[in-house]
Amino acid sequence: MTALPRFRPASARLAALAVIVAGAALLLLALARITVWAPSGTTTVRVAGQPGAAVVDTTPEALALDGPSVHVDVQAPDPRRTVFVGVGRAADVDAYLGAAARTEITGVRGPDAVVTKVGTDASLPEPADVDVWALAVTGRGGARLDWPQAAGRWRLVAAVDGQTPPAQVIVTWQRDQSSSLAPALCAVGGLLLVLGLAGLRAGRGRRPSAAAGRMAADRSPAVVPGVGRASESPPPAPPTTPEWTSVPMDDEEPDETPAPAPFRQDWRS
Amino acid sequence: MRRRDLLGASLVAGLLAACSQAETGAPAADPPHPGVLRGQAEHVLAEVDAALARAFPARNPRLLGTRVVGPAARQLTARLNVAATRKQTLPTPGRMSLQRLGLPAAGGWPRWFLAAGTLPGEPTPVLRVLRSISPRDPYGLWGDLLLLPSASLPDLASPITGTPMIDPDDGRGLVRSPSAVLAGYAHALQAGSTGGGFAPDQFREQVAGQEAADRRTLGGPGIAEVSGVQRPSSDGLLALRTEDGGALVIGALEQLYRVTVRPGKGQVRLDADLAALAGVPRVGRRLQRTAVEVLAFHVPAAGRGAISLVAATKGDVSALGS
Repeated sequence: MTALPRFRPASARLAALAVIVAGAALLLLALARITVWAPSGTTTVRVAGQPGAAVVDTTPEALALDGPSVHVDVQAPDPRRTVFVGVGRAADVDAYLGAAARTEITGVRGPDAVVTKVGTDASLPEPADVDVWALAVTGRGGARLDWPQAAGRWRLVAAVDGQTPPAQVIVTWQRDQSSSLAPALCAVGGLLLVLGLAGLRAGRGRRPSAAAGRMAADRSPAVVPGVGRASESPPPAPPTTPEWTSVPMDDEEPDETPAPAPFRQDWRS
Repeated sequence: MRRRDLLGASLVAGLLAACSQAETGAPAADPPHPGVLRGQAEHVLAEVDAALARAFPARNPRLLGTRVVGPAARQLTARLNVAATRKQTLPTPGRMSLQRLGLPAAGGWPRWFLAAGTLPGEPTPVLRVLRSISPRDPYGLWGDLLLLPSASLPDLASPITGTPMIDPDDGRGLVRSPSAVLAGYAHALQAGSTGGGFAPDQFREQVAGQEAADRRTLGGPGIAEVSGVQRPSSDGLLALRTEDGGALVIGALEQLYRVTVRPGKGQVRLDADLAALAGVPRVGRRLQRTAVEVLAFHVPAAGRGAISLVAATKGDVSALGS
């Protein structure tokens, strides 16, 4: 009966402080995310063509990473070779690729592409000669394509002639900045901070009636006379309050949460 | 203790797994769309124009490549071979000025689309039919039809999201199924009859008139026997839903035309193009001539009148003479 009330107020105050610290940390983290740790506006991956896999392609999910557009650079294995890069409806590209062996980009992990080798057929008809592409570019030695993200499922294919893989494919996604975590961190951090502060103040309000006359002074530490550390946090403690007396504040109902008198005792000792 | 270790390890593993998960997008399902976009169709038409521009001056059908297919390939191959044999200069078809596209809804293969427009120096509008037989085959010119006098193409249903295609044997809501339309017209051509559910048209009059003239010239004096058979070709059939609830049906017929010279009646001289195609200037026994007719019909909804031919083309594709 006596130990518990003494322990619980300290615990509540500690918890409130922990919440404040966590909120402040999140706010700082949010600040860092929009300044020094701001995520890059682009994600770039480089994928080398693999021997035995005639094309490099993406899955619809990989091509559709959030963001307004995708830029693709394809380099030929030989500057005299013509390379191809095209984007088509996923179902059409699936039908065109069939069982062709290919290096497939299925996603990104940080700065790296997640690739997998799919299919077994060594070659397929030259991609520039088929009509499944909504957008396609060919070029000698290299080709570049900008794909504005469009509704639906699309796949990208980079190739040379359907037999020789391209030397390298560089895919750059323009990322959607609105997906940054900063707003969420800011909101959660701010909420924690407010909750923590509120908890702290409410805790202070749970004062025994003997100390009620100084409650107002506690809320404004600067006016507490004779307490040298009043302006520091945590605020100065009133004289010891050895026992909890359940006298509620004027505008508050009795609460199970005891006043944090023991904490103050600890702090002062 | 062991349980705590296990929990800790699980937590670490879970965190690592979460951090190492590949990042991907979540594309929405495709909205209804045509099998080809306008830009794709224009690219295909430009490729067809380029193929014609290569093949005509050289009078070399091989230069048509994969951009001319089906009945159009057979007709143009014969035409270019005849021109090469006769050392004729063929005017190169100009680039088509596109006026309308007909884009069927996306589906499996073969896929089709239509392009209507005009060619430089040609007063009659043309209707080009293009087909891709598989995802690994490009679209090629399948039919190059001329619009008939006073005919107009019906408006197609759902032009933006892709016009629904109709199964060749599906006659629901139509006066006749698409395949029955083609077979019926073949029968009407062969019989030289009017009616049969078809509105009168100049094409049928011309074909019937040509055959009647041959019968008069060769059959009348007893020189030769003339017979002809019209039958749907195996080149495929396209049927698209029109805005009025009917269908635009495009198909091909083969005309097998035989001239059998009666023994002791001498020889029949062939006209220059036919002689070049057959490889002989005249025949003393038999001539078998095969022509392909590509036809486009407006098939109305059931109870809404007669079927009308709106565009057509005909060309010889082979001839055997002896």
